[in-house]
Amino acid sequence: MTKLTTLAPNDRLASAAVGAGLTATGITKSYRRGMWPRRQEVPVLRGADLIVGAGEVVGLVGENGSGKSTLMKILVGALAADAGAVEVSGRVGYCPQEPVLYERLTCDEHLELFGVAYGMDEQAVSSAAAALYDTLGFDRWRASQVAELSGGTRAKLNLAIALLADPEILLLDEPYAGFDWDTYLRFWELTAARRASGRSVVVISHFVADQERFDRIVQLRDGRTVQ
Amino acid sequence: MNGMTLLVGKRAVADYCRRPLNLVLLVVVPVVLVFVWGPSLVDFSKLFGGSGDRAEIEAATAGWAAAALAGLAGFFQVTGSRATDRRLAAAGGRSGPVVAGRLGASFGLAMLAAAGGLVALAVRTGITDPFRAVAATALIAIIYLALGVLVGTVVTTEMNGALLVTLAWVFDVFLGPAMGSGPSLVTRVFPLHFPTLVLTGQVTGHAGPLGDVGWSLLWAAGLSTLAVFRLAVTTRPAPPPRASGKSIGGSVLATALPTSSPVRPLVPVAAQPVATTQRNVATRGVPGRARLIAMLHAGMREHRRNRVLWALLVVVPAVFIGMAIMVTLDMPGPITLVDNGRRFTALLSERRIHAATMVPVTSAFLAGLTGLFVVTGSAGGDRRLVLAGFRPGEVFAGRLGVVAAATVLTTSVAVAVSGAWYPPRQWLVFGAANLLIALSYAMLGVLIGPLTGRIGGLYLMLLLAFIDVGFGQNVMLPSGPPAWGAYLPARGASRVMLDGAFTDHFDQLWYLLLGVAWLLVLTIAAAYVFRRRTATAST
Repeated sequence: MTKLTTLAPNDRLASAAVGAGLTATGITKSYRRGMWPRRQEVPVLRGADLIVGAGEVVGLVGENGSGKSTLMKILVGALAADAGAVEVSGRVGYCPQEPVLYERLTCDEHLELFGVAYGMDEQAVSSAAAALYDTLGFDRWRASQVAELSGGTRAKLNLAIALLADPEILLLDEPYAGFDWDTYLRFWELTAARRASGRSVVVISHFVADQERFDRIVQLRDGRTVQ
Repeated sequence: MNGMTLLVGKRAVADYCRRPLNLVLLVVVPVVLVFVWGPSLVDFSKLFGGSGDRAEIEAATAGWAAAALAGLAGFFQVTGSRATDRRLAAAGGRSGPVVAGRLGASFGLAMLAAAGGLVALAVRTGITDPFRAVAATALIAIIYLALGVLVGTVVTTEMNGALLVTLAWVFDVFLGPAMGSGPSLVTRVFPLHFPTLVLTGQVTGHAGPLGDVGWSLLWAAGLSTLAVFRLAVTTRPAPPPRASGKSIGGSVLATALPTSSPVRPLVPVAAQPVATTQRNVATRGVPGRARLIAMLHAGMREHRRNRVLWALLVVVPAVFIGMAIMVTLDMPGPITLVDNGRRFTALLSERRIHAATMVPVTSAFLAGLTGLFVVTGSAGGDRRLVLAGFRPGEVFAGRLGVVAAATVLTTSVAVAVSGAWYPPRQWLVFGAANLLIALSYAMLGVLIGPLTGRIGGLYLMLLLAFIDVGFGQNVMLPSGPPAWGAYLPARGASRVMLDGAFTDHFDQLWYLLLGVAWLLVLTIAAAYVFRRRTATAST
């Protein structure tokens, strides 16, 4: 069995100076389904590898149920792999597929709270939040509670939380579902700017519409990655 | 029958059965109510001026089990499928078949709940009047099903709605006619007042020309009509908007809007600090204390906005304890106490004893539910916060802050209401002991929430709080608190509570330590489960 190594947030911060990069090798993961005596092991990942260099924009595609979100969760540390190794250099920003938010907190309050989680000071949170509101175009909703937001605005807040600390590696799980066209274009401008500044982006999608926007597309098939 | 109606009904029942916990509860709730609660409730009934007839009370427990299962099944049927049912109705252009299917499935589940209660009753005592038992239990299940559906269509927050249905049930059971309810007029307006009398074969004498059966049917028909009406309204797709555009050939065309707003031009993102080489991230991080404060602040801010919850935490103990005192007969009853090292049996007003013992029951139940709902309601966000950099312990502390505030509030109200009727001899000891029990149950809620989920946790809290605090520690039972109560969390603090309520000196250090030990153990267990559910793979 190979060794699984994920770096703690503080280690990631420390290694940020060395340079961004993500290396995942031999990732395997199975889920248990059903109850005894009909319990089954359903293998999802069978040795998936993924290497993302600094300044790369990588698309991770695959059929529905191919294990894309599972791989993403393992990469960010939300889920433990059965085997394999993950090495992350730099801070990771993660945008889950479904917005994971607090219903009764406002957009401002979300960014404030996650800013503290990322270790940012007030000034840094404030300026990053202002830039994100402007870039993603939801400034008028900043004082609204999540329960009052449309699906698209929730998706923007979901993405903004991932972007807040300007992470070296951004992992996005179907990030633009629910975006309007204007926001979709802004998202890609933002991604291009991140690439230019040496930041890495991994975008999960069940299909890739704009292939030219990616440096590389990795396909997940039968639990393994195919370049 | 419409094909869509049949299909919706079948799928709803399948959905219910695919959650193993639902099937477990279908067995556990009737068994606990009929087998465990039944015998104790007979004694309570005598104290409250009820008949105390074993057969009557045990017959009622079957109805109560059916009501608990049907009410919450109806509520979660509606809240769990509201958006999808509406979508289904919109897809077919008609909401009638969808509503009929949903109600049909809910009715089937209510009948299943009634059958569960009746089977438990038949095994325990046998059924002497099968027609009465079956008809009245089914009627009670229908009344609570309708109540659950009605609440589900009105209250959008799952936590508040489930709490409302459960509290209605608690009021109906503990202040209902099977338990005595004294001469109180107020309790006659409870939905199960007349059906319970029908089920237990009693005659009210105040039903008028309609009679007890007539009132029971009226409750069932009235609540069912309201529930059907509300469900039809909430499932009906919204009517098409009235367009203000031009009318061509009798049809109205809405004015087309541009696909992309021209108001705000695209700003070159390279100019935005968040996406460029300009780094905004502080390198020194945020100190642990500041992170803890931020977490507490956010948690309080979020839950403070759930005004219905706070209102329930204040109003329910006030009303429940006040009514419980009012319906208890003011008769003398024995209670064993220790004061200044001297053990003696005192004869006290049972109304006074009940005023004191209702405080921990009420506050434990409400605190437990708060712990359960706070921790389950924020689970996804809490995991994301940990991924972002918070420690699981910091997030846990933040949640505990909210739970503790709610617990202190609801316990304070309960203590104040009880103390206003019968001031305790030692306010501080009485208040602290009640807080200790409530905090222990709050931790129990935090502990079981991630393990059972909301629905299972709700039933568990209801059963545990009343079995432990309500029966296991109850000094009003003729033979005193049962021996098995010594192994439950409320034993130590309950003795301290009695010491504070009825004696002038504190004599229960050992029991205080026992209560504190339970709180510590439950907190550690809750922290362990919370950490397991929230921690990242690397932590």
